[in-house]
Amino acid sequence: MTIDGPNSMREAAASGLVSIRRCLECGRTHYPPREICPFCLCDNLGWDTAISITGELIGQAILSHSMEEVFRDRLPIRVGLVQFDSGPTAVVFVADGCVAGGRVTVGARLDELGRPVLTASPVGPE
Amino acid sequence: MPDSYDADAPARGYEDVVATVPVTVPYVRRSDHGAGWFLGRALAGLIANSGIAKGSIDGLTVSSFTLHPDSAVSFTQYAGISLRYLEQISTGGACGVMALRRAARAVQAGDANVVACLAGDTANANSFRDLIANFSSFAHDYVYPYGAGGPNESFAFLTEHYMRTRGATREDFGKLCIAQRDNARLNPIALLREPMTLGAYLASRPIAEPIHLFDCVMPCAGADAFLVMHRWRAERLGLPFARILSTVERHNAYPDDPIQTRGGWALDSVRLYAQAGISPVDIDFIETYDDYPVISMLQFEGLGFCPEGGGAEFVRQNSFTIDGSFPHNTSGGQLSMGQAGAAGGYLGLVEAIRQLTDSPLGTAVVNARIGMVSGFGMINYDRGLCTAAAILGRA
Repeated sequence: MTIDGPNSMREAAASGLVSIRRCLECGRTHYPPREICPFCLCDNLGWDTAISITGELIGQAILSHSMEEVFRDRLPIRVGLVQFDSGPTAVVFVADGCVAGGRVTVGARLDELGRPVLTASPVGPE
Repeated sequence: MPDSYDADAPARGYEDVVATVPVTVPYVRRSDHGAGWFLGRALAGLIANSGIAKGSIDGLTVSSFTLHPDSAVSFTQYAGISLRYLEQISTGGACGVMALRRAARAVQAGDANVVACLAGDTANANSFRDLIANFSSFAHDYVYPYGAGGPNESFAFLTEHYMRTRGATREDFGKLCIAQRDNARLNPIALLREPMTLGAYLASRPIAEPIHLFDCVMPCAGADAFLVMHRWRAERLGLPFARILSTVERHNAYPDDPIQTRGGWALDSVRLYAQAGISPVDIDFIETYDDYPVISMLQFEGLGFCPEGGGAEFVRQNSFTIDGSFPHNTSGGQLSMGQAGAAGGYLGLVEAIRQLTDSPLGTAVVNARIGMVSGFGMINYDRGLCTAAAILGRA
């Protein structure tokens, strides 16, 4: 689903939506978001916005150590790297039930500090 | 004229320039000194060990993370040195080879007579956290909010993927770590030099699984340095030197790979060996950038010692001690000496110069004539972007 509205990942995440940059010239998506398209270098960019985006969990880690107090009492924390089906990769939190190398669906929220963050969840039975 | 419009022109050799006077300001776990102290003491070491007057050093390269908000320019005034050539090289673990390349070309071109190459950093309770939290805009906004695991987290993704798809095991990584610790045994300035067993390696506590404590380098403070000058000048001054046989560097290689399974070395190794006129079997020892053992495996693969994806099998077939079949990280590497910020990008290079001039910190590689140094730097987001390598030879 693509909708109009948010102007940033943060704005989208506040509404529970994921937003990924798409170049309106060459059509390719990228992440992390930039002010230019890393493929064609134009600055005519929009957002692909959806409830969730599917992809593959291509790498993961279980953190037992954090440099920030805010995370320390929540350890261990599972995180990973997801490649979206449209190509780009994103660092994400990983929910229970995800399998390394397996399919996931990625949603967004704002964290305690108001930062947009992504979380991968298992793809449910269709 | 090149064969095609896009073909690389052949690079000029380095026959007339040399690397000399390896200096290390001993690493310490923490320091109240600033980066300027470490860089300044390294410069003093270059002057003391070369007999070259401060005023005769007319070129400088500087690499440092904790020098900020100061810069290489600031350092010229801080250390009272006047120059006609200056570079700040911010490529982290690849900065040593890149400093060597730039300095060598500056000397060849006549832009400087003697270039001092410096890398150093301080370390205190907050410096590592501050560095990691603000390492890059991508890291700050798109990595750090995910548990603030720092480089352990990013390298854990690569390691997990590599183990799952290439069949590497923790035992394979442990073998490299144990061999390096063994190599550090007689190195008096290694911060970690007590023997490590496989049992202790495997039992070390998880940090960012699959990465455990003994896979990780220990952040510390320190500096490394060397000089680049014309060969005739080193000979006239009586300075032992290493010849520069070839060098390469690469940035943001393979941007379409979804996760890092190779570095830029694979694009450059043919050129690297061709310029030196040798092949991988001629290398007597190698100093890789060992921030994590999986990265050493990627270097073995990319630099042509084994096929892509064959790093684990290569580790099983070799021993990596100084007297072994493939002497590797002969000072103990960062895993034993510590990672003094940007100096981690110099550690292998100064050790290679030392091995080739019979002045290792610890144990000498017997009959070492040709050494390779490899660098890897800057996890800007999800992968290390900078790779470099050099082949050095005995005079």
